[in-house]
Amino acid sequence: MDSWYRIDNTGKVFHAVSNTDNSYVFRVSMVMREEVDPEILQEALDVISPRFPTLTVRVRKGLFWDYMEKNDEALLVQKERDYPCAPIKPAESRGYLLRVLYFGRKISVEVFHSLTDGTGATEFLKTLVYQYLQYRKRNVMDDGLILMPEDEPDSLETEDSFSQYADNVDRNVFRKEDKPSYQITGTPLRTEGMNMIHGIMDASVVNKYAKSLGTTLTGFLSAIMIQVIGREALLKSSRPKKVTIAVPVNLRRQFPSKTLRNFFSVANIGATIDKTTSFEDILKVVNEELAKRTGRTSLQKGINQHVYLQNSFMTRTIPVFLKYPAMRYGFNYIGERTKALTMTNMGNVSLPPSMSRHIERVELAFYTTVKSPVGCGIATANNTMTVTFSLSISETDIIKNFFNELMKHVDIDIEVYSNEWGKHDETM
Amino acid sequence: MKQCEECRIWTSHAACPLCLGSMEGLSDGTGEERYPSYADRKFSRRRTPRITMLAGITAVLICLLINIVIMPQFLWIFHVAGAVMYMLVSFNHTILSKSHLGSKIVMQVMSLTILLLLIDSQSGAEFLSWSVNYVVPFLIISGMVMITSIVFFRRIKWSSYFSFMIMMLILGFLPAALYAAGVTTVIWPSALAAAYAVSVIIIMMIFAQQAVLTQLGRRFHI
Repeated sequence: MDSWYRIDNTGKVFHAVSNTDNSYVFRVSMVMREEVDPEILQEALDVISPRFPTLTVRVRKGLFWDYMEKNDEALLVQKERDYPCAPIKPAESRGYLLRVLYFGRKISVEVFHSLTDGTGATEFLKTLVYQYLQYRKRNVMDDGLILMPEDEPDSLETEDSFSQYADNVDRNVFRKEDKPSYQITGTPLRTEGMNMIHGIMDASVVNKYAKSLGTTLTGFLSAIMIQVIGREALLKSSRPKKVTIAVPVNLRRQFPSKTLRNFFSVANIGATIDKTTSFEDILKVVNEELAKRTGRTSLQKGINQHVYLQNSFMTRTIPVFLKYPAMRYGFNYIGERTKALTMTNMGNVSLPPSMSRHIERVELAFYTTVKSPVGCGIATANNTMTVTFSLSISETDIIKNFFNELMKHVDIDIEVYSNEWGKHDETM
Repeated sequence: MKQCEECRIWTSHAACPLCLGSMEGLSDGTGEERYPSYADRKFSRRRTPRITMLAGITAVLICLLINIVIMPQFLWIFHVAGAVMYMLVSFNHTILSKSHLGSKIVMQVMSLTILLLLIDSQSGAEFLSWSVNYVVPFLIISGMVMITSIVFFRRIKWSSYFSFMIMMLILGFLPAALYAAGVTTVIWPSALAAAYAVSVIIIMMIFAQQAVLTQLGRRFHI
């Protein structure tokens, strides 16, 4: 079937603003217990690809909006050679905007954010790994937690849920924008690419501690992050600093969507830090902000504003070569200034017990941007939480202080490993 | 796996990933390889297009200075600027980039058209003569022939050439428009270009009307 899709409301923004320095490519990985067999992985990929029609597409240029079209080229698994979240260039990837990679025991899916969000990419990866394990003759059951490769794609999985759930009750178009945040700066790496630093720890211990403080895991880790960034900011000047971190919110938890396309919002959680601010002060503000900004009313307003702006007659009828520069400007000079970094917690990845036995843990690696050179992705599976920092600057103080602060609160061992990007700068 | 004394984290790396302090004697450095080695890979930023752009602009500015100082009555700088622009497009887009072949054809036709118009406008008694009368129409016809031939012979991938074909067909009417505006004085090359464009459109509407309308709907959706 020669199908095509409009790019969803959020995807349009990523499509307009991406370039070599801002890849907007994220990665979800599953670390298996055994070495990955690339041939079997390819067989599994061939079988599951048609199940995800909105991911196996190419982008075509239109006059007013670009759009996605079914891609008939073969999607090939690749041995990981480049740095994580490298830009995906359609001219070099048979038009695809996603990559399926393997290295050692790790299977990764890297996706351009225009296609889907963490939930969509995770569902794809879960189905891929399920099929892979089936072909490896492992006794795995789906337990209703896997999108089965043989099922027809549901039309609800391909819908643009932003348009579906927008209403005209409160469009709130002229809402007050967030104040600019302190921005993390540092020495750019000499070569394009990202240093990835992963911290692996026991999830239940951290979760239990967060609960004991009366907050969630996201709230607890956000508060630590704000504290650490705030301290760094105060080293540069002693004036109080507004430190905001952007926390993506999965809208499927508030709205009953089954879409595999983008359906998330971003809650900017911030606190003003001065020398007297304690962790408890920050946590209190973070809890209030999280409750306020992730509530259904606030999220509904965000959806309405987003859809209203993109559906206005003027926005729709301006050609892309005029519209995209305007979107780029708005995103880079207004949106990006309101956060110090993005910290995304995809939560616990639900896997059938029969699959869990073959999977050690899950990782989420997040892109950096020129204005936000540190990113943080958190994923949990099998009671193991992996906190992944991506950096396009050489300074690692924030990460070091983050893990240090975390260990001050919770008595846990953290295993850290990295891709050591930048180590070979001299030879590259 | 050993513990970094400063950061208190555990790692198998030979140096702590956080403080970069040496772990020799602490970590055995023999942990599992979790990332590929980047030592033999080239990841330097692609600077060639920017360097050529800078070199081109510098050359034009130097020529402009020389032109104004030595021969202000004849501005040959337009010839230079046009040639530099064409070379930049050819080098950066046609040769170096991995852009679509259709886009390379369209860019070549457009940049060469601009270069020819610039040269023609600055030489001879008439403002524009040989370029608009003969060369540009035949250049556009060549572009149309190339793209329509590709679409005809590579039918499976024809939709990827659709936008570029539409652009070339629109360009096909440019010589006729120039004739209507009185800029062009020789009719037959312009008429030939327009006739080719009209023929292609008629053939498409007869043999692939539904597919053409579908493609137009997608590319012009709002």
